[in-house]
Amino acid sequence: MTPTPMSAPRRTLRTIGSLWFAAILLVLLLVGMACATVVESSRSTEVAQALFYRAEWFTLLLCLLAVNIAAATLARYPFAKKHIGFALTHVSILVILAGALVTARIGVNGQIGIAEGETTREFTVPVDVLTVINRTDSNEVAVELDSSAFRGFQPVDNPDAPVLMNGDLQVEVLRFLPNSTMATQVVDENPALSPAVEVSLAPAGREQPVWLFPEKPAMLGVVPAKFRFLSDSNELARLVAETTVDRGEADGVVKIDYGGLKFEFPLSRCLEEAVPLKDLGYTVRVLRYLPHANVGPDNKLVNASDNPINPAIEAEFVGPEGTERRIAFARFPDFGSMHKGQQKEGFKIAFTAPQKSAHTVPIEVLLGPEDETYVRFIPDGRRVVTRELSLGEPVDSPWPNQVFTVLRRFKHARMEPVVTPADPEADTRMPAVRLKVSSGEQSSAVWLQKYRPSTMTVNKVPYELAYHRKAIPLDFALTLESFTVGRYPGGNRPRSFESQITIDDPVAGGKSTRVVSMNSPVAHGGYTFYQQAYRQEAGRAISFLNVARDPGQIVVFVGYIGLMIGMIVVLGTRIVEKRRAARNVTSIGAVGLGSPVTGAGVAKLQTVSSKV
Amino acid sequence: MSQAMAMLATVLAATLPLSEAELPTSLDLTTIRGLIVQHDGRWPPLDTLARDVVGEVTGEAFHQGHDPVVWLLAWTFDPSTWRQQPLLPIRNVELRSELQLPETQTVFSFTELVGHQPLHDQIDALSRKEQGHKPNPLESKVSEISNTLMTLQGVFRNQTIKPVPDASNALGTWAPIVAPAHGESSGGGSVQSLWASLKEAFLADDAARFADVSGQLVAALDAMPAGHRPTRELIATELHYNEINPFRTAWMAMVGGAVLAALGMWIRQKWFGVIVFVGFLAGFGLLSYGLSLRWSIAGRIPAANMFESLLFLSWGMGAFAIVAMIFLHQRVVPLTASAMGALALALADCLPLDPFVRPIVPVLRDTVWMSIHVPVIMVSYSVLALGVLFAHVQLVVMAAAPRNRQVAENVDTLHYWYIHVGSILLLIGIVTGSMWAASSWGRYWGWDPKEVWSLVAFLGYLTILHVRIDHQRVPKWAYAVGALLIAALMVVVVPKLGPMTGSKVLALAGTVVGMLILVGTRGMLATAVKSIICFWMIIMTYVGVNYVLGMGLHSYGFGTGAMADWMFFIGGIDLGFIAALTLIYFARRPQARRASPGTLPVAASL
Repeated sequence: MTPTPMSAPRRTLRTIGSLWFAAILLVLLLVGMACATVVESSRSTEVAQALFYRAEWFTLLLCLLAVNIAAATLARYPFAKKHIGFALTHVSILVILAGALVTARIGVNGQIGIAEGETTREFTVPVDVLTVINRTDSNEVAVELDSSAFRGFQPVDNPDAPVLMNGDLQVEVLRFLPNSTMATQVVDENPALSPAVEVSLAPAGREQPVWLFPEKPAMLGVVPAKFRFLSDSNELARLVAETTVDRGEADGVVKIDYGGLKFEFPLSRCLEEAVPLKDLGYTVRVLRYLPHANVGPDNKLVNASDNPINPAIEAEFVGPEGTERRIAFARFPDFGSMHKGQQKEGFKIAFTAPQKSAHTVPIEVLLGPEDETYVRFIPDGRRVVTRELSLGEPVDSPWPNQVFTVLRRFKHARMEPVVTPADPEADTRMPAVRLKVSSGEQSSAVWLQKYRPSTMTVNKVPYELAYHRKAIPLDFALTLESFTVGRYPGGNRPRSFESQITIDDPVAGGKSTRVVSMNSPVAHGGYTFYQQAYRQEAGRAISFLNVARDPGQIVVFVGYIGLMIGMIVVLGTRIVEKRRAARNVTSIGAVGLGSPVTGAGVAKLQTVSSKV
Repeated sequence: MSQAMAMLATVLAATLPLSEAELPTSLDLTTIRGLIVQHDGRWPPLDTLARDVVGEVTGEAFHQGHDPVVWLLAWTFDPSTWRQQPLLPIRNVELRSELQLPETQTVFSFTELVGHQPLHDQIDALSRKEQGHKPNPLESKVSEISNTLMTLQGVFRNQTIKPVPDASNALGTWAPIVAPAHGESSGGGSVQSLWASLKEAFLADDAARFADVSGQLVAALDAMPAGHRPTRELIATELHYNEINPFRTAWMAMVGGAVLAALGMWIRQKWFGVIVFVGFLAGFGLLSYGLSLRWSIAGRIPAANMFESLLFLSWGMGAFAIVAMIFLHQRVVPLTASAMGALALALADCLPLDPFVRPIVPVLRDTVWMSIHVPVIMVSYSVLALGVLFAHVQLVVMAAAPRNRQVAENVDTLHYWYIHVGSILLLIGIVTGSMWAASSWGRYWGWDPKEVWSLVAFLGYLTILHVRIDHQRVPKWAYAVGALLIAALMVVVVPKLGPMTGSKVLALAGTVVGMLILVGTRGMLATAVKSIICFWMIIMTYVGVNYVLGMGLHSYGFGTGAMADWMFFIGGIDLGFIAALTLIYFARRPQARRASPGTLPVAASL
């Protein structure tokens, strides 16, 4: 039992390859993996992959394990006969780890998501890239964002990313946000002329800023508004001088029925004067016109907006018996007879609402060539009240308690996306990068979200920026002809998922039609396509195929086979040792315990024989 | 007066069917049982359909002792009566109060439930939930009830029994027999009129006519052209399988075998050894026969879901026991195999697992890997389960007779062989799984939780096998490196687990203790404890991934359930068992010799 003296290198190998070290590494890996599955369950697969399986420390543990196994194996070289199983097992584990390394380094595992009828010539792999395309010469430059920062879950300033150069343009990554939401803000830095105003229609002191762009009507609360830029001073002067607009809108009609006698009057006339009902001795006058009638807090009818959502009038009949007020709704002509039982028997009132022309907007902001700013209020779509505006100074509006203010006035406005960290963490993450885009002296910073390309013009050259998955080109075109879900008869259980694809490869002799289905992949051009998933979208199927090319796989499989054989050989060796020990034990006369072998004897002799 | 009469008539109409709700008792069902129908993607005999439907509705196929075929035909032929009868059990009190159902009533009629507004509202709310939403326990119960009501509705509308074949299409949908419309004359021998006659004979409990008509009906349907129809032999096989219920019979036989084997521990006679062996073979043979029947009925290896995997678990124990008996002449081998085999089969039989043969999902189809991977994995679990039984026996032996090291060492040796073989089988299982994944998904390893946990368990067993044979002097620095690495791992892992809760702290502390035991202890007691820890990793792989983590690519045909709670409950009991026996052993053991150099102090004391 005295250990034979060992050479120094062998002793070092023994130490590095010691079982204690192996046991510690195995247990660390084991605990790490167990925790990873819990994290995967409570958070997501992506998080588990990034924090555990694909993390540096995990790789380091695997490397240490490889070193440990290699040392343990080398320390026993040259191998005795009883060590064949041991050597085969441990060399096989090294082969498996080497194969895994090959897979990780040069293996390709990507995805194609393709809709029926579509053709693709590329697939994506889970590597993030930043792409800049010059739109004028279509020059495309991409860099991989492969540092750990981009796989992490923390915002990182100046993450380690290569600088991207496309011609004169230089793009650097300033910040990485793992999970973002996007809003837009307006900045005054558009190289082209692009005027915009920020206005507010709100109670004094409580501004509610809204940006108005030309030809894009927006709502100021409930009032539609539009913005016009006029480069012609004369046209501006003409509009400012206008007091009414008449763009062909139809007046409303007030209809009165008195015992079969019918009267119809224009609404605008009834609003101005009391109109006599022939010689009945009555007059009718419309006190109010409410385009958007609504029941107010004290049960009175109030106007909620100037949009003809629920047009109504309040009319006053004056006659010998006194005065009486009536409400009529354009959309509910029977309302009066349903709700006012005590009303005068004779009179029935109805009305049709005035039809505004689609072009008339109650608020129009005008901007002239010299920054002259006016607002035209056209609350009833007809009469115009024009006010001159200066920045930040409120003017009264026709809407009670609401003042109108122009807050900012940009001649070179541009919508710029602003990206902020998402909180709470969304289920599907939306990473974003802040980029510094510079060209010569000019430099600006922009946010770019993943999968949402954006365009920008630098030195009059339009560029497209994109942050997405890396695409790998195929040497052939792949078309999804159709996707079918086979069902088991008499039920809804899926039986098969099949993608009928056409591969058009001029090198390999033109088109061929193949079927990719579950457990029956299709290989072509060095890649193998596996049916992975599908989704129904807008009436057609999108099929997801896994694309793989893995030279490491065969290495791993060789390792697998070696490992299985090795462990069986080890078992065989142990059985032989046990048999031999049993013979020895029986010869010295030990008696078994209901068995021909004593456990104690076996254990002792095993100790001897397994001592290496 | 007339009004009162009308009211009485209504009351009578409502009460009359209740008294009429009687099932025919004299009928010979042999022929009609074999009626080939289409059901859930298969073509089973009517008998299987009836067992499935009646089991789903009432919770037991032989409800109130009546044949399921009788139940199914009664519901089909006389829906108006059976709509009013209490058939659907809702035994959970909390569920009843949640659904505002009467507190004392446990069984409800179709009409009652369908007309019950709160249930209606719940089902309605559930249907509006977005897809992929993980249902809470109440929601899954509600959806269960809703599905059962749909099933029963289908029976009442005669949409469930579908014996009329699609003439040309092998995968076509078969049709129910629709009664001819009024006035439409049908030939005397047509299936419609035979069906109508069958109904009359059934409702009249007319045995002679029923036998005659059912024979004619089955013959008429068998004569119709069909795109696909199973052979009569196959139908006979399935009827035979349903009738003998081989797995229940097998586990009962195994219990018998275990009792015999236990007696064999005392009656150490050769002739009794033969009896023990025969007893063991009876259970194992029945199970193998049942598996082969199920295999031919399904047309594929029965290894596609939890129920079928439990069958293989039990079978693996028997198969390994036969091998072990050749190599190890130990009386305890047939005992453990019978006992554990019976346990696994009884679990398959008694747990709420779906025992019916169902079509399999696409990824399991058209591949030889399922036939290799699943049986190998299950046999490895079987062997490791037998190993863990020895580990428990070891603890008991050491606590009961701390001075008798011989028995303990004997058990230890057996245990060693079991986990050695089990680990090899587990490795083969993992490797074949990996190869299957490569052929189906294009990658041989994807860190899927099932894959990961199987590897975790394998690595755990490897530590046992390695530490056991290691007698090398441990350098001092190994402790330092080990402590450093463990501390580093905790520093890396702990912040990633999110906010700390009491249970998480407890789990982490348990993990650290487990790590220390796995790495730092030696000796027979330690090996037994480690083996138990590793087997819990196997259980985590087998059921925990599906029921505790509830995700991953391997969740085929698993439902929700109280499985996770049970797992933790039994785990807790086991933990208490280990702790108690270890303490007893320490209290009673002979004075410890001085620790041999090079082992941890704690290791030496074990």
